[in-house]
Amino acid sequence: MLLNFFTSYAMRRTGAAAVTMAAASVIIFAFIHLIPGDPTYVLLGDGATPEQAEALSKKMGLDRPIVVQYFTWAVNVLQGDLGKSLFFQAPVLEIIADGAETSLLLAGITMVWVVLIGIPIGMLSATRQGTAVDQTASGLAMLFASVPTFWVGLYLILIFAAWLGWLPSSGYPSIFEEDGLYNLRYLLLPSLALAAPNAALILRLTRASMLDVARQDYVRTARAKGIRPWQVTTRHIFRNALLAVVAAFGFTLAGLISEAVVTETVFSLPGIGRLVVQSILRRDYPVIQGVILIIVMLYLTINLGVDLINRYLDPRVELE
Amino acid sequence: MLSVQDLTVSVITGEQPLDITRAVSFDIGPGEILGVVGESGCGKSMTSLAIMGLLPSKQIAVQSGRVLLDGSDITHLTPDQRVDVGLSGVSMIFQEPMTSLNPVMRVGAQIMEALRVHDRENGRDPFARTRELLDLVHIPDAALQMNAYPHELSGGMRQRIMIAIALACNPKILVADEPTTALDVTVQSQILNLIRELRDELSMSVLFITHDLGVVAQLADRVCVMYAGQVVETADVTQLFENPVHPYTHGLFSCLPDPGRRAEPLKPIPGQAPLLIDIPPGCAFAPRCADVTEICRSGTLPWESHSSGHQARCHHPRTGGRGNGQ
Amino acid sequence: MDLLSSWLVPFLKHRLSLCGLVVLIGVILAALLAPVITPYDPLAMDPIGRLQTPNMAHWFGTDHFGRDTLSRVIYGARLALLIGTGVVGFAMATGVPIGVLSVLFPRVGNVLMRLVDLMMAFPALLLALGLIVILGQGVTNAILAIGVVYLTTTARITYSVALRLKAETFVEAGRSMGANTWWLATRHIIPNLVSPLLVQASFVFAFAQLGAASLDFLGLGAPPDIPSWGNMLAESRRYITRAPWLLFFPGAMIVLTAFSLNLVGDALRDRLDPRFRDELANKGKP
Ligand SMILES: Nc1ncnc2c1ncn2[C@@H]1O[C@H](COP(=O)(O)OP(=O)(O)O)[C@@H](O)[C@H]1O
Ligand SMILES: [Mg+2]
Repeated sequence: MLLNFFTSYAMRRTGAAAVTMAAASVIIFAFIHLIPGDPTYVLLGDGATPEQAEALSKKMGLDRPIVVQYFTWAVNVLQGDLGKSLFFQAPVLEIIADGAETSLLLAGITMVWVVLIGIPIGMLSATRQGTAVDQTASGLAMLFASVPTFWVGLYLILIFAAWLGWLPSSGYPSIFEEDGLYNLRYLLLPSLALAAPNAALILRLTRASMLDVARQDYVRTARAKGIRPWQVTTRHIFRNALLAVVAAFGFTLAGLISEAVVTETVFSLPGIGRLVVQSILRRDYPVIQGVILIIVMLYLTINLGVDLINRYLDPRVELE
Repeated sequence: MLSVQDLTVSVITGEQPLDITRAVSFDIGPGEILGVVGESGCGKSMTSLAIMGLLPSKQIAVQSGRVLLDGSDITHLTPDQRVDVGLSGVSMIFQEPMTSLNPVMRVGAQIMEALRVHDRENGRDPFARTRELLDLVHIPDAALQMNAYPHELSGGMRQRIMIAIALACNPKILVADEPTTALDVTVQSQILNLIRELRDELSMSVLFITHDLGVVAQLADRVCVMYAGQVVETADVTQLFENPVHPYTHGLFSCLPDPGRRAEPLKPIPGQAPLLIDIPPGCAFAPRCADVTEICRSGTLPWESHSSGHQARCHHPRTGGRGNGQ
Repeated sequence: MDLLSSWLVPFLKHRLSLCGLVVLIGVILAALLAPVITPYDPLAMDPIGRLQTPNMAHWFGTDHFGRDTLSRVIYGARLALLIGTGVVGFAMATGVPIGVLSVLFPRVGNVLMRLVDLMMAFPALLLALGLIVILGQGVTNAILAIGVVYLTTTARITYSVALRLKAETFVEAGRSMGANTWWLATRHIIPNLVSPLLVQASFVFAFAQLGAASLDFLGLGAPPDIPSWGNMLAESRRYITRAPWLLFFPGAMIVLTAFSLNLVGDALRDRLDPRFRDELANKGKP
């Protein structure tokens, strides 16, 4: 019976995500047409020959109604054809795939920091509400939420790469290259810089929801049972507080993606974020479009996953 | 059995402690149901939380007085400390069944959590015992409902679960703080019947808190009437209903629709209960009392006996039965 | 007067947020008085005096063109203020009507709020970057691009607060749906939106600083000849090992401004009606 509730929720939630993705794809499709200029030349660059323009125009079906054009594009996308990069003269999907490892690892390692720093300190802060520990942690959290990631990154480079020489300051060779996993050290500073504001956010969230839950009637019921205070904290307060944190994870992720774009640029990491910035500077529109599409898809998928986990942990959750 | 002696509970956050209750005293005998009535805000919940050792001690604490369970002082022990010293005879159910259960824990697990603390030595299987408790509080399909989450149950069902949790702690005394206030009338009487039934079956005592004299009449053996943090009158239930003496108790009765009589217009007590920060000296009820005289406005009040077990805190008790005196 | 003192109370209670308020006033004054108080022309180059460490003549040192960092930082306050006001203004001018109209006319509202949700499927900076690509670079376009990001959060907050107010008003007045819309909007919804939106405004102002700095840093914000804090960081980036102080002052100004705004926002939120606190705690940040 329970599984059925969950399955039904999962199906509806997945459906909703698919609808959102479809709607977002319309906007992303429209993107190329919103850029001033003839779409074929936007996609081919100004140096294109009339023959090339003719060919692309035919492929995109530019003489046909815009709705048809959208579906032509969508079908191509579903088959993995995101167009061709002007700069690299290679399929957009391949170029994005090249950056995927860096970006995903960076995001993953950052999330580990965020969870390891944000949640325990947030809990500590809440259980010691009003003490010096709490005030210091909360103050630092607010400070770090106000610090630009790239500024932190630049000073991390200065201290740990330039002055101390402990860690590399830029670039990232794949873990599949020589040195293997040891190459992850290239991602240490970037992930710390990226984690700073996000861990601060999660810290504040954990603290706030711990305090909120601690006031709830059911916590009083738990105390009334005569169980140990630490059991009240772990089984009742922490578990419920964590729900709010999990629910907000998707939301943190949006911020993280944004800041990753900047962080990859600071540390010259060969990831998708830096790719999009460089493509904008190079006016490589097919790549920009492709990156936006892939990131939105990834973001919606992870959000879907977060919601499903949240629904699994909290049986009350329903769709809006 | 349970004896509350001169219990003063105060808010300690301000510059000066504010007394929420002032020298509240009462006793509950074995198998007795003591009703405590009073308007909301008069300190009933704080009294019951103090008895349970559940006051939020950073803000509100027992300033003086004692709570004795079978002669042992349990005033400053939290429930888990009471378990350690073997004095965990008091359980409590709360006013809000909707919010008093952990929303993400199956109700069976919430009962078993209490069993693991209080039912260790008995060597009973917690699972089987949980089913027994659910049967005891008349939850149909106990085996199935154990796996339910609180939000899947109605308010009445949740209050039954709360009672089951309380019973899992093997109480000698059940403190029930307005357990039916948030429920529909029909559900209300089911819960009241259940509490009476459990008292008979398990021979436990009940401290039943309510703002509703009608409920007291149905359930209680003895009654304490509270006003502004003090007990102003206490008596057997029949005695109190036939022969109330404190003007405030009279006032409560005139707010009560009485099915036995012709429909008289209900007369609410004029004025409002005083705020904690300006409780008048002398009798706290004086500003609203029809019988007030100068002596009421200062000094200490007499705690006079009117018959055996019937006492009131008043200079001008109205003797001569209900409806008498203005 | 009463209103003013009620807004001041939270600041007097928390000394830190009072500091925040003072810093903000300082930034505003610096921006307004920039031509008067700057010791040098922020654009004047001095090829001989390049990359000076902070000294008596140049308190914050000089950059790689020999420009006075202090003067540039002070002028940077102007752009910070412009961006902040612009973004808040745009987000409020668009988000608030969308939120209120959606509550007043649920049928239109459903569609509008779906669109807002759809925009939230794009991570903030990505949305801003996409808009910059379409609109082109420049200060105005940076304001628009960041403004659109906060349009969504502002619309959402307005929507949820107004929805709540509407429900409460109907309960209180015992009216059914279809009551006078004008009366509902002007008497009950709009006046009660002021305080929650003031809190939201201070957060948006703070995030606009960080967003604009990011755009500048990526070279996609204000044109490079404008002395904005983000541009200063982008330009000095190459000199981080040789002249680390160059990055310190503009960065510190960004942090100080954003931090102060967050402090002020938090203080304002604490005095807010508890009913609205949750909305602002959760939905204020994209
Ligand atoms: N945290 C608190 N701080 C100050 N006063 C409180 C606090 N909690 C309760 N009170 C006051 O204590 C009094 C008694 O409350 P309570 O015991 O809940 O009343 P009852 O249960 O009889 O309705 C009320 O007047 C209330 O205002
Ligand atoms: Mg109460």
